[in-house]
Amino acid sequence: MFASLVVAGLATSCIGDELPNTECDIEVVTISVDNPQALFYHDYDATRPLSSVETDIVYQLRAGAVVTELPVNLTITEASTPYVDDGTIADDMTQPLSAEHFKPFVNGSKVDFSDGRTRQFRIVSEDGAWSRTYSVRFEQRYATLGACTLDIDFENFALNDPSKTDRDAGFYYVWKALDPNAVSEDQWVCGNPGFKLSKSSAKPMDYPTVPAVGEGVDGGACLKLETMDTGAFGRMVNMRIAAGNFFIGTFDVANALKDALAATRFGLPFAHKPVKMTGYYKFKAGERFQDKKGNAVDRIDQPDAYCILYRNTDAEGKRVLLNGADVLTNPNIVGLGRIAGTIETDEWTPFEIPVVYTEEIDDELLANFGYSMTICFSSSIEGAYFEGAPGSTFYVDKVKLECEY
Amino acid sequence: MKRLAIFFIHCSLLISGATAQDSWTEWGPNGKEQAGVIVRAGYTIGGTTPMPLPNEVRRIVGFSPKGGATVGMDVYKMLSKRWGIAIGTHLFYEGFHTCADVKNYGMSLTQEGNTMSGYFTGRDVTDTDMWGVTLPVLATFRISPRWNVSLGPYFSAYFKKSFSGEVYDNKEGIGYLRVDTPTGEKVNMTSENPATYDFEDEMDNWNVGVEVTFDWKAMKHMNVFAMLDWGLTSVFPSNFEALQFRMYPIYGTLGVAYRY
Repeated sequence: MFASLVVAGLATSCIGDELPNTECDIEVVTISVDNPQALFYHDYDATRPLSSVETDIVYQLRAGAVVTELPVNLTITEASTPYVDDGTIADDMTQPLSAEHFKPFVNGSKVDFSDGRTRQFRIVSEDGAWSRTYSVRFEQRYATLGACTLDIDFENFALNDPSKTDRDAGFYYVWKALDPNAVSEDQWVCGNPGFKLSKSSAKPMDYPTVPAVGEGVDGGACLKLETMDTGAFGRMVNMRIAAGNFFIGTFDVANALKDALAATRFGLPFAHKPVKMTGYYKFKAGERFQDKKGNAVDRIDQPDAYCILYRNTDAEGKRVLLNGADVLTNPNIVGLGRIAGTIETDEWTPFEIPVVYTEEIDDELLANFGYSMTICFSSSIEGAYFEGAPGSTFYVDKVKLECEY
Repeated sequence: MKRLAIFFIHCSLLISGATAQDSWTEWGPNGKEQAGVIVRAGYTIGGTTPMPLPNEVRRIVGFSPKGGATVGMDVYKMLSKRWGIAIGTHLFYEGFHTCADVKNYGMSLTQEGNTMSGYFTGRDVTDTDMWGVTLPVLATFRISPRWNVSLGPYFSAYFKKSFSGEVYDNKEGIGYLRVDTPTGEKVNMTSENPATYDFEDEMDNWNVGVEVTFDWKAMKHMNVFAMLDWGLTSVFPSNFEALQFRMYPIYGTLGVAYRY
């Protein structure tokens, strides 16, 4: 005991000086206005926590909101230095401007976001060796009116780095929603970024969520979801499988290991009332259904598909965001439709999911984006809990979401 | 290293002063003691550590050496009244458990061909064991009739070894990996779901270092000794990339020895 104290004491006395920080993140962007409702549909929209991978920030504005001089506050990595662009507008503002186009930024300064312009913020780490550039833009969002049908045909996909190919390990497919009624172009997300953590050697088509080109109902592309083993790293954190999933919301890769259920955040604000989701599927169950610990269980795997509409603000004005733990049970859910009676089939089989409402829709709230909508597909119904059969494969195509108004 | 040398010189001076009254005739090498065998047994503690401690290590939260042991035998031969040589064979078990808070600690884990690498900030818990044999070749020097110091290189071979651990959040709840670079994805880790590592298979099977031993003749045939084995090669090969730093085994033994 004494000896260990001596050794620990010696070791402690050897602790060197702390090195300067190398990180340079914007953790939160806050638009510090007195009345956020004048700009945004929700008070909480003014404060925007960013995930570690988010660098393109688009604020959705209430129709007619003026953003000429907005006081911006950034919460950044300790001891890093913030800069804002000097007003230079490059041809392609999705690309970071070079360092000479930035000037020091002081929290609370007013920034002009008018005319839809993209402003860039650059954060330089304390040690000066690292930097990240963020783009921030405001776009007006109008509720489209009347009945509509969202066509979801899974045809618009690309690798997350378009300069890569199917032969490059570490990259995966992402989808865009180009439908004018879609929640946002980037509404579709999946667990691929989490799978990448456990299987760095996986090539784009080795991921659980992939496009299947030429295999669609009409010969085009469809969505292919497959439950996969996550290998040694997955076992290490007791997440042995990854179901192929595809949903509207955000995937917070930072919490993929810490709290996987919380990492899947379902739903984005939506101003229509969905009543029915239809489409086509094929399903093949994997051979061995396993529980969270990897033990075989006598059970046949099933896929899952659902559509949910929920109130996105609670009584105190706080954000309500469904996650894997409460996506089907949260009391703010007003409408829910879930696939039932799926069978194993290698023929395209139509499905129809009516959205059943448990309370009346408040039309004014709907028009002001007070409801969020999610659609989710998964190759294993218990995939969120890391239970399912590796090899379970769920193909989905030609999905339509019919909205009454 | 320099400080250590000064420390030993101080020790030697103190020892030689305090034992001036012991006579060479009573304790020193006489005809019968020109050569012999010393059988040793002792308690071994220490650690496997980067030297010096890198700045990325911010705090040692806990350190507990495992009750290690060394048993062995040295054969010595005196070449003069004070100088001699010795060779030894020491079987040892040594290990430790440590818990440290680190900041921006570069690491890279590979399992089944998949790699997770980046910079970790949070708590790192390491557990290591080594079973093996150390073969020192020593120059021995009689500081005084009852005190002897020996110093020389050693070679160790490991029969069995382990080096494993976990990374998770510290007391402030901070525990995350920045994937690949400090601007990469941030992956949070908690003690409920720690990331574990096991580098047993990557460890070298051997180590080379310096051994220094102080023997004090407590009785006619019995010594009390303190021995330090200071590794000069890392326990991992030079192409090992999982840890950013070279890890040296540094273990001390306190024990008793029987002189034949």
